[in-house]
Amino acid sequence: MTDPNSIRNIVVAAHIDHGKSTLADRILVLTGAVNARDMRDQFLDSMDLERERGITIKAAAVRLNYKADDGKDYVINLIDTPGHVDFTYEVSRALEACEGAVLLVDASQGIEAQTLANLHLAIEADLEIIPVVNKIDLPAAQPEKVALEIQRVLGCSHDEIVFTSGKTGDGVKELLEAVVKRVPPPKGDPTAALRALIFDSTYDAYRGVVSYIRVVDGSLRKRSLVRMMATGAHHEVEEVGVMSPAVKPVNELGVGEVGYLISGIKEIGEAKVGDTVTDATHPAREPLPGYREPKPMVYAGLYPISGEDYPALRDALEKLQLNDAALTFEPETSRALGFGFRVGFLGLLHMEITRERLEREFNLSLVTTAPNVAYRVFLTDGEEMTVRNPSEMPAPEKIERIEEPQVSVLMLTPKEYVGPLMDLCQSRRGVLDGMHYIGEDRVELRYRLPLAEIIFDFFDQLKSRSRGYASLDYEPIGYQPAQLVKVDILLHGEPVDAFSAIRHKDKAAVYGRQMAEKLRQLIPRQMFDVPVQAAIGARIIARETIKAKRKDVLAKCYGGDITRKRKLLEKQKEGKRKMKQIGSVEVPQEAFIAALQVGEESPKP
Amino acid sequence: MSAFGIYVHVPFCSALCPYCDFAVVVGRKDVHKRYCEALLAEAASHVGAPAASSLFIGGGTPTVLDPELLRGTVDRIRELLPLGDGAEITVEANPESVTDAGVRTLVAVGVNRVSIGAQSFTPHVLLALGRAHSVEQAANAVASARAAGIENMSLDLIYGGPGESMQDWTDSLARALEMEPDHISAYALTIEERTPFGKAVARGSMQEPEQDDLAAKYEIAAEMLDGAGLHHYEISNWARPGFESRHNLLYWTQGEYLGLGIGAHSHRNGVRWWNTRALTRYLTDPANARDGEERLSDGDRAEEWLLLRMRLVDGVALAEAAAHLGRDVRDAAEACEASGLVTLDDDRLCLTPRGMLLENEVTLRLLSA
Repeated sequence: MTDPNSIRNIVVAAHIDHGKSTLADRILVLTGAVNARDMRDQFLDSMDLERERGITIKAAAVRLNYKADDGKDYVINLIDTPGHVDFTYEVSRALEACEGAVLLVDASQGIEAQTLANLHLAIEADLEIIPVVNKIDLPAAQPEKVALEIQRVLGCSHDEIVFTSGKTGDGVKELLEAVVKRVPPPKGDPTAALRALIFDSTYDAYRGVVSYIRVVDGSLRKRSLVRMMATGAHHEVEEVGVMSPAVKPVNELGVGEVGYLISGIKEIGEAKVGDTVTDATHPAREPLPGYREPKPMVYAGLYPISGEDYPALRDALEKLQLNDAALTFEPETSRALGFGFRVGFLGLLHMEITRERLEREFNLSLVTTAPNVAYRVFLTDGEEMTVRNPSEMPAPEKIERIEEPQVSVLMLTPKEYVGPLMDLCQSRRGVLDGMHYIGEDRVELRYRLPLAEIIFDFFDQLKSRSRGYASLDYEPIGYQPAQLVKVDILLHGEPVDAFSAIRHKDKAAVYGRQMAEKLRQLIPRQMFDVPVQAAIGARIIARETIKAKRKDVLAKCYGGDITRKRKLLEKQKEGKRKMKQIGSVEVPQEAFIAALQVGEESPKP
Repeated sequence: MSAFGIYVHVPFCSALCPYCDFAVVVGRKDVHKRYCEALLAEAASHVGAPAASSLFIGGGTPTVLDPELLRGTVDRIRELLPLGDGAEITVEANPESVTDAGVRTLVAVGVNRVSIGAQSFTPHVLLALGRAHSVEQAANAVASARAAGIENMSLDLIYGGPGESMQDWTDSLARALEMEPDHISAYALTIEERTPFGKAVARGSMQEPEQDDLAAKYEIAAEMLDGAGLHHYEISNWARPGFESRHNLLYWTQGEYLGLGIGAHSHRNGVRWWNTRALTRYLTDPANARDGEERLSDGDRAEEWLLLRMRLVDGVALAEAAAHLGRDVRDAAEACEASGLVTLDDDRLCLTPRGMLLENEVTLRLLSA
């Protein structure tokens, strides 16, 4: 066990590309954790999938020994945070495991929305913040200008800012000194019942769940019996240890220490991020504060392009779920797309990552329906329900009101793009929450927006309207009633489930017209006129007609080349087999897929 | 005499038509003679074939050959592969290559049917189709053929060419009828991938003919040609009674035929095969010109039978279809009848005018029943 007074637990919070990995590498070398000769680029990142002693270890936390200028030996635990907006809760748990935060800002880019969001979380977690201007070696670096920005948002003095270069190693020593001097040592009661915070968990095929923990009170010993306070799971501790960065089992972790725990848990859902590990025989009375069930915010239907892949998709989702407690899915059936799953995600990036992994790691070709949020629907009979798939929305006359999730959006932008960004937010039903300058020419904009309005192409729009300079962060802030309606798309009078959408009443007609028009273009002509309608309940708000097919054969006989005619027929027969039948209308699946993809590009407001 | 056909492909043309997908060669007068010798060598390798009920000399443009060369070639093919009595002997001709003397030569070797590639009687459409002849030349070609004693004269027409209005097409039909042909084939312009038109469409510099326009033009054709007493006997063919093309009927009835020359198709003893489209290879070894073949399974053969037979105006008897396909198609046929695509009088399945435009759909429905 280590004396808590010599421990410093810190996170490095940074916007993507601001040099976190390179700086971390430098720290590893400087503290002797890694021999300079063995140093590879971005050592911590590449650690993720490395197998040591049969455990897949993630560089969730690294323990470093540092001899400070005061002559004393310190242990610095460097805790990693997931770098994205969808994982705000996970970030907040990682911060909770620390006493200090290094706020890393690129000397040429300045503060970004994500930096600011992390900063606010760090302030809320009451951490000592050490601001760092990094990449000072860059020709485009403006360290003093960025320092001024930092002083403004943090209210600190110039002296408190450390200037570093991960590339040259300049300032890294000063940074470690600042950590030792300014970050307080962990406080905790070594004699109290064990309380350890899980700030990350991964799944290993051989060892089961590996949890990354910070001991708050008491101590965690090998072979002891532990209980997860939120889930109630209890297990014997098989192994505890630290990563320095090589995996090193220890007998015990005491107050303030950070390490990993393996206890034979087979499902990641039993060791969730934010849960408190306690001693099963002498449990703590209260868990650590702040635990939350991971709750999906965004839903989409995932369908295999070829129906035979359905079992493979289910297996793949189950495998991903082993490592991702926030991923939820349940089977659903679409008349247009066949068998698939309604999958819940923490946010857009989470959806993007999951989809990409399914396609890349599991070789699946997927159709993703337009994403939607979960709506709370209050019915006239007093019942309340949650709607995760627009096609499940009850008829309008049964609905008393609908509530939708709101988010607080934080944008940082050069001042010249404030106008275009405000226009964007206005067109997305946004309410301005505040705006102020954080430097001479950079502005922090805060808006309240319905989550549904940002899950389409908001990010792309933000980037294009600011020429790539604006950055974004958002967090959920609860539900609010809204004038929402379900728009159904009817093909020859039959609703096509995959295209039902929930829209604000003022935007319903636009969606209906666009979708009807798209389908008219994409669906091949049938033997009869086929109306394509958009409807709210029984009210038709848009109508297009797919004109009846008039001719399919007039070609000549090609000097007796009957083979060619027959092959054409074979092809058409094959095509007919692949048609989806919607009522009496035959639609090739490609038409639905194309319509969904066009939908993703999204309506211009 | 049972029906058997011989097709002779003459690939030479004076100009390339941008829609044409046949094996054609522009110019090359230098190899005309060698090509005709190669045709004879190929014909010699088939000695012993049944007596033919039809001989069709197509192209390309057979009439660009020197009349004497053409005459000699036809003569000698007939020696190697004899024709039955009263055989239909057709030569395809483009208007600009028809001369009085030329047609007389053809008649002398027994040609009794001429099919003139008039295509259109509207000058700007002819131009857009890349045709080398004028409207007058087409009229003169018809006159020459008649003067030489041709009693079975057919005109080929194409509708849906670039820039053709509904009125243009109506005028073309009227002009064609004025020439009192015995037979008319009217084909919708079809864009084939490997042709200049196909490439233009792929590039986006040309619009594919619009199906509603083609359908309307087809209906106009049916109305005017029927009105002029020409019998609509196949989807794209009309004839005075008794003047139906015996050779082309072979194609629609799964009949047997032997094709000579580059790109020619044959069908004998259950095998369909086709010759190389490469001129040099053909000239080098005409007796081994076969480039590919297929032998159909019974199931494929039955489906092909239906696909082809349905094109004929007298259709198929339900019992006959059931015998071929090995299952009853009455339900599917009745569904087609309800959609106005076929008639089912006396249990005979025949396309309606609307069904003729949608024959593929009808066939697919019957086959997927």
